[in-house]
Amino acid sequence: MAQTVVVDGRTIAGAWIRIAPAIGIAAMLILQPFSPIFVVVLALALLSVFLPMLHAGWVGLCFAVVGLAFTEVSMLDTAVAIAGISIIAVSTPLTNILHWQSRVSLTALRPTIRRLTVIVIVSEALALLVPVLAAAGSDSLSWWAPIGAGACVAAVASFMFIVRRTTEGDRGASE
Amino acid sequence: MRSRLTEARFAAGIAATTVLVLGVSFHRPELVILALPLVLWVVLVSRAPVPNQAVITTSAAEHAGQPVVTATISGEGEALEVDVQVAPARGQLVVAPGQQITIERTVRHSGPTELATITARELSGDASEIGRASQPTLVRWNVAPAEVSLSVLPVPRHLRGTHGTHAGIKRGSGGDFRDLAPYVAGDDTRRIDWRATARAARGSGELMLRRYNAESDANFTIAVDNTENLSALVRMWRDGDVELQGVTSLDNAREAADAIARAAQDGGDRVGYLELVPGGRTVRSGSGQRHIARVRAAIAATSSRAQHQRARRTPLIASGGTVFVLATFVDPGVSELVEKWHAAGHRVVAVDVLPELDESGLNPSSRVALRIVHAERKLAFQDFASLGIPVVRWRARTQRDAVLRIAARGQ
Repeated sequence: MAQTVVVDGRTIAGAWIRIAPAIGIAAMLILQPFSPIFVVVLALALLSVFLPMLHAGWVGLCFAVVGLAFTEVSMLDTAVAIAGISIIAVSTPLTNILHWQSRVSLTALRPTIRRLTVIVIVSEALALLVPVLAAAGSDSLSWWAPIGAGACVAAVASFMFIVRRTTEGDRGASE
Repeated sequence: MRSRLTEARFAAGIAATTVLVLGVSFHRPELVILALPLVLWVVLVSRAPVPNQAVITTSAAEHAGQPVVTATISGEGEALEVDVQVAPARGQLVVAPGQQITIERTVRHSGPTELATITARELSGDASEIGRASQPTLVRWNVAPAEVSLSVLPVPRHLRGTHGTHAGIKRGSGGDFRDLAPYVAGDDTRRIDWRATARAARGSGELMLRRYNAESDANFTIAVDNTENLSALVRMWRDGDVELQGVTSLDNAREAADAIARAAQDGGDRVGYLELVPGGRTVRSGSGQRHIARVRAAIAATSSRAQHQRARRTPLIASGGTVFVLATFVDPGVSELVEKWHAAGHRVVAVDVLPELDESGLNPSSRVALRIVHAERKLAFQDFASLGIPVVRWRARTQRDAVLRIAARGQ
């Protein structure tokens, strides 16, 4: 018996999302020279594609950052790494549920794409501040960068928490 | 309901902490900043709506002779993971709440068919939180048989109704000439036969009236033996999956029953339907568009009830009608039933719905068994011939039309 399953609207193959974390890790790998860590991360990236339930994407990410720690990274490298990590963050949970031959509606992916855009824009903007702050002063000043980044994250988190509470309050009032 | 710390969020948190520790340990602010996307993601997904149980709404319709299923899944999550099982295949979709899914099926057989089984679960925060799977929703559809036209049906010998298109035996109007009778007060004066009056008048003032038969409707009963569903491949009779094979005896029976019902409707006749199993579907005799729609729906819903025994008593059918018995006549019980109805005065037409058999791949014992089946069928058909019961082989189109025409002429 033949069958055709059609979703109204455009769809993409689930395979693209399955390989997305590996693409994210690969983005960080091109920043590093060949090393034992490179091999480990490559293996973890492949593992994240074929066995996503092992959460190899997250482990691969940590290893890739270890690799970066031993490498001199430029501003462009940081920007690429941030984009890679953002892709890993939004796509890794999806890989756990998607089959290779599944179809994903682009309408269903809208919240994910919106989140990815916000994360990339905010992170890249803050990443720009780091070298600026580091270049502005002495060695001790370079420690202001992570503290500043942490403060920014805390500020964003607090802002979102407040927005959420306010929204919940509005919803409760309307009910 | 608040968001929970799910496995994915926990893993992202651990990864962020690791990156932060690495960055601080190596005195590298640009590494510390790499933890930011992870932290942001955890914060953002914690704001996503909490998934609940998805609600599946389905409907089925016929388009160009094939069933089409439309499913809409609603939920409170950001997206929905939908599992569509169309035996034997299985597919996975991720859709937005309220988005419509259309499943187009090409089915081989008529009758009740399981078109698809749909299960859904809600996803939230890039699938970092997953709701409970919904109950599987099974979409069934009674596939209508192919439409075959029958030009003529053998009507009952004695037509008793007063409305219809066939010449009846009761006195009325509209039918064939019946006799001449003296005029009595109240008779229609337009029917006075002046010539006959002149010839046959015995006294002064006695007028002769032409009388006619009433036009009558015929009563047809369609009886389907659905205790078995045999395919053309004999080697698959025992344990083969009928769904995966070609035309079966029940496909033929549904097609024949539908053709008879439509032919009866075209002739303005009454038609009833019954399945020859205890508790089987029955539609009482009737006529009209809505009634025929009911009969056709019952035909499309007829399925094999192989586990059922045959009825111990002869099913009751409307008297003075034509009974079409649609069966494979492999079971002698049906042949006995045909003879009983014939003996009770009904006009019976036996319709053999067994498909053209493919006897390849049979082992010697199966061949012997099949030969016995053939012999029993042949004996039954010989008995029918000796009783004057016409046998219509449904798949042999030329023979089918010829037998029906001869039977109709011999009424």
